[in-house]
Amino acid sequence: MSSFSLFILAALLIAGGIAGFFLRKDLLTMLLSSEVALSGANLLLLVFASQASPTEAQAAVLAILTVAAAEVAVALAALAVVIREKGKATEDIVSEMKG
Amino acid sequence: MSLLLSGVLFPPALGALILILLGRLLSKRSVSWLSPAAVGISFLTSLLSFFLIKGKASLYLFPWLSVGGLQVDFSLLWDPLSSIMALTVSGVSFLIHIYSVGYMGEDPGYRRYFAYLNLFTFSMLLLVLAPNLPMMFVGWEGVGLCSYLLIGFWFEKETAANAGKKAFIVNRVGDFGFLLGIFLLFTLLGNLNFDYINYHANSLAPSAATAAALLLFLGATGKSAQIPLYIWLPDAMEGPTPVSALIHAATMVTAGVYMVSRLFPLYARSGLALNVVAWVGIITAAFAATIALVQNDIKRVLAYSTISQIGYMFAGVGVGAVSAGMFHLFTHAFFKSLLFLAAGSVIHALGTQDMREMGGLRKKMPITFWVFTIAALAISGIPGFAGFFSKDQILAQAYIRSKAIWAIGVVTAGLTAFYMFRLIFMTFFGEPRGWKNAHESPPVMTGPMLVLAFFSVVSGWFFSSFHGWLKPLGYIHLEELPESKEALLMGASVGLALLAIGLAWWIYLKRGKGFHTGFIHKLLLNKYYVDEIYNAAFVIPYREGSRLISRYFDIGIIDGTVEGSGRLTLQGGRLMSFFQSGFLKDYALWMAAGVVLALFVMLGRAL
Amino acid sequence: MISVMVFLPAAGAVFLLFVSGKRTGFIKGFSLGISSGVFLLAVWLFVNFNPYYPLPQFVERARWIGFGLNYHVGTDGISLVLVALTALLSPLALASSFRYIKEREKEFYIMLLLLETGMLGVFVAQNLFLFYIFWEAMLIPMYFIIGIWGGERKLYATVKFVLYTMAGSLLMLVGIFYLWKLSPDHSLYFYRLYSLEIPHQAQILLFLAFALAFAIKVPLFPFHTWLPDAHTEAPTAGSVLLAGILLKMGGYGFLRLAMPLFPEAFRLFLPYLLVLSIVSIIYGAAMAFVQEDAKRLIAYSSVSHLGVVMLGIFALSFRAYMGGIYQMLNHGLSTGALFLLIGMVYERTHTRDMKNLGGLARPLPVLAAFLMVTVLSSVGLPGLNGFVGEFLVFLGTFETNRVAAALAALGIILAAVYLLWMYQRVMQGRAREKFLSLPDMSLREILIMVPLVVLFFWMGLYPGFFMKKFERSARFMMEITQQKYKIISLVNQGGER
Repeated sequence: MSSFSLFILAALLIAGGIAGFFLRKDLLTMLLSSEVALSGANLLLLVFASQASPTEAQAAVLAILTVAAAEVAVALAALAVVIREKGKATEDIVSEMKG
Repeated sequence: MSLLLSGVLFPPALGALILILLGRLLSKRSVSWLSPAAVGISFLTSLLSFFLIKGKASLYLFPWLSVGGLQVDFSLLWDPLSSIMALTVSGVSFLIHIYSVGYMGEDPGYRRYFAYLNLFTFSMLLLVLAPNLPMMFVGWEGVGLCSYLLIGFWFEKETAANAGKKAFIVNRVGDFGFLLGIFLLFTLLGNLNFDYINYHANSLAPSAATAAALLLFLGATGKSAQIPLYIWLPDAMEGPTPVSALIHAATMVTAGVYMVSRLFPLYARSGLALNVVAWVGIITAAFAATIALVQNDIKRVLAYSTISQIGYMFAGVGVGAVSAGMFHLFTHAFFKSLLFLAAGSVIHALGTQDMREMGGLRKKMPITFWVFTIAALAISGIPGFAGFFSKDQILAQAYIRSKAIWAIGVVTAGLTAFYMFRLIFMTFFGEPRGWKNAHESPPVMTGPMLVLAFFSVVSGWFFSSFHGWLKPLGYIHLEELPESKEALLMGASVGLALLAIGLAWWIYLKRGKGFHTGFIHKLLLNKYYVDEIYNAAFVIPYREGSRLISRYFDIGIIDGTVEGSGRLTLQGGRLMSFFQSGFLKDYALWMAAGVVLALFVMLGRAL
Repeated sequence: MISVMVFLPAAGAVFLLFVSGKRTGFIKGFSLGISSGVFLLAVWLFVNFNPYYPLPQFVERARWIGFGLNYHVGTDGISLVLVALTALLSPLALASSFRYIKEREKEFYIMLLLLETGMLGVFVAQNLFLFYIFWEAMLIPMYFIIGIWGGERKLYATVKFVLYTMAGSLLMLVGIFYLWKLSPDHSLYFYRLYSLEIPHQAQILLFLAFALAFAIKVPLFPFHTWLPDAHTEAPTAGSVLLAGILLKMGGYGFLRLAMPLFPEAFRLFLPYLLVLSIVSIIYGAAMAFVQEDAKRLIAYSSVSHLGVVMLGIFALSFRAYMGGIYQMLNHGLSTGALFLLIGMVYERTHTRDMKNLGGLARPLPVLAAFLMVTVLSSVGLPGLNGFVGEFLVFLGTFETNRVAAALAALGIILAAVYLLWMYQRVMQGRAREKFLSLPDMSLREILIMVPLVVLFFWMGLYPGFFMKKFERSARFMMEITQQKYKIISLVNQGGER
């Protein structure tokens, strides 16, 4: 695939992720959407990497993947707590962090 | 030979140390032996040194301060001046230690008392034997501390605690001057040893010498209770009476005179400073004597009398007659401590200090009465007694320098005789007023008094050898006066003194009561309201000003600003917390908005 | 050796994490043992320190996070005595808490040990980065010590304390970034920074940033208002270490960093700094005089005494500089002792309000005697330690600025006023009925006080023993400050060992 089409793919992933995040109310789906957007961003990084310096970007992507894995673990745990407490998990019922 | 000096200085320190650390383990009896013995050793060694050491000796112990050119050694100096002082101090102190064994016998703070008394003797000897100004200052402050501790010895009494504090603080005012004087001399000369200062005094500019001398003299007015810092001494009478005798009459309060004598070449370099010393001395002498005329507390009369007599000493040194001033210091140490001890004997017997409640004690306390009379004759300057010789010398020398000082001095001598005999007549003569049974004090108290009585007579007979002893210092000098003139002057002061005694007899024995009316009497009784004036001028403004500043400035403005800034941050936070709704979507929205904004900015840059 | 000393308390704290909180006896003994061990190490350093060599000794370095930032500790004479002071006061403060602290004891001792590591670290750090880390790290245990074990208004006091100090050091952090960028090797090593040519304008800004951080810590008027609150609310050990060590860091910061790094700017601000020092002396004394709470009084007395320290450091006279450093030690000891003693009074009477005290010398003669000696040391009685420092500071200041010295020397009068007033109100007069049966000092309490009192006398009678250790280093630091010569060559010879 040419790098151009990869760009398009990445853009689509990001746009879709963001759109999903905003349009859905279900927290789990929102989480999935954000992951999609993230993978889009990763893809973008890799594309750039193939054109400039490969090693550093690849390292960065690996780091991001690791962090993402950790982050998902925390997020899912938080989700589980929300479901246990409130019975369901939509974004409009959690606002404990209001300042 | 100079090793002897450590035997002069350290026994009392050792005694104090043992008493402070192990006091509780010692029996009362062993305290009564240990403490006077420590001072006794000190006295014997001074006596030994006095005869064995010819001229000067110094003992180097260790460097105390040595920082970048400042070199202050802990060493001891024995010369004619310090030898006389050391003898006087250790001797009188020894006698008073013995007296205290009887006087303080019943007091629960017996060990503490002797620990302080030993510590005092050590500090005083340190002051006397110091070879440089900072070491002298160590002793100077040490005696001040002991004075504070002993005035406030009965600390449960509010007045005693206050008096001790007052003494310390007023002395600190003097120390402030003393320290600045030290600093000035160091910046001028780069060395603080007495020998060096005296040797190089003439190389100083007169104005610089004046400034340094007067700053040091401020310290002397504090320690020696002269105008303007005399106010602490009358209050200091709250302490036990032997303490008043030792510290506030015989030794510590004369430290200022000693200091001026020590640094006489510096004072002589500046004529002004000497004049100030002489005039402050003589004015204080007259001023304090007038107050002593009307006081009813037996110790307060003696306290003002002390202030007055030290004024004489300063006047003597101030008119250039160091040996005369020092001689008065020497004789005064005996008769004034005797006066206090005898007064203490009366107080011990009656339990009151108010002379209006005494009277008629002559029969019950014959020894006390006689020694008191001897001391009173001595201080009044009656020929044959010690005070006569020393006072006469001062007055004669003053006459040469300034007739005015002489005149004030003679009048003051009359006042002195008057109030001393007023005291005697009120205490020992007439009918008993308010007391039932009195008794003579035990031998342990009368013994020291008798010894002092002996010296109150004899010590005056040796002025010329005293003068000769001091001569090697190099700045001891007396003006010559024609014999006939001298006899005339002597006659005037003695006549006035006798007249005053007669007057006192007439008023207090014959008439039976004093003058108790009139503005002047009230003014004198209230000590010219000086305490009140100082209070209104310094104490109250300082305290109330500090309170106001504390309330309105410190807490109000400074802390208010601090808290205000905190509150501002808090309010700002509240305002900004609008963005933190708690809803995930809102956050995402703000984020997205931020990203979009950033993109636009970048786009704008790129274009 | 230094690293062992610095991190021993922290290691002990980590170990304590795994000990059951119920075994309080063991915890106390263990932490006291650790702290005493640190003291022994400090004594070893003190003895083996070569006083003729002005640069840091016992240097230890290790590669760390890169970017030129390494781990680098060592001690010159000035640091040495402050380390010794810290190592002495910490075990004493620890031992004073054995009965004072009654809840969450394990956590308390952990915090004290961590605090000790932080304090030692500040004094031995040889580069600015490490210095800053220790400087801030120290705040955290102190925050908890005041915040958890403090008095009634502990939260207010602790927040004020931490925010105040943080606010000060934030600007310093910015300054550190700037210096890092400016220096060629990015090591932020003190003695390299001294030789840096910093533009005049930048010097002014940097000096202000650093001076603010340190002036708050000292504290100089008008940045002092956190101190009375923090002191009053802190538990005894907290007050002791706060007054004894933490305040010294302000002065240390000035003489180690703010002054030698930015000498031109320092010269420029010198008049204002002198004025602030003198105002601190007099103002602190006046405020101390009207306090009702004994601890508040001592807190204000610290303001006044630290004014003397700062005056000495600022006066640009070698004698005053030495006196200023010496006075830091004196203040640490005597104010530490004052807080310990007032803490002991508080443990017995449960009040610090002097209106309710009085006459305690009757039931507590030994405590009264110790308080008297401590008060005298603080007042600056010759023969005790306080005098030596004050004398040198005023003497040195007098040589360079007579008016300043005369004004500052008023402090010796005012100190006597408020301290004797305090002594009188606590110890003299008639005791209340309920206080008459109070127990006097226990053996533990006496053992806590004895080393301090011995040092009062030792430092007062034979100051040369201590001064010799830091005289060379002090002269060296002062000459750097005065830019007597460029020090690049010297550093290359010795500093890099």
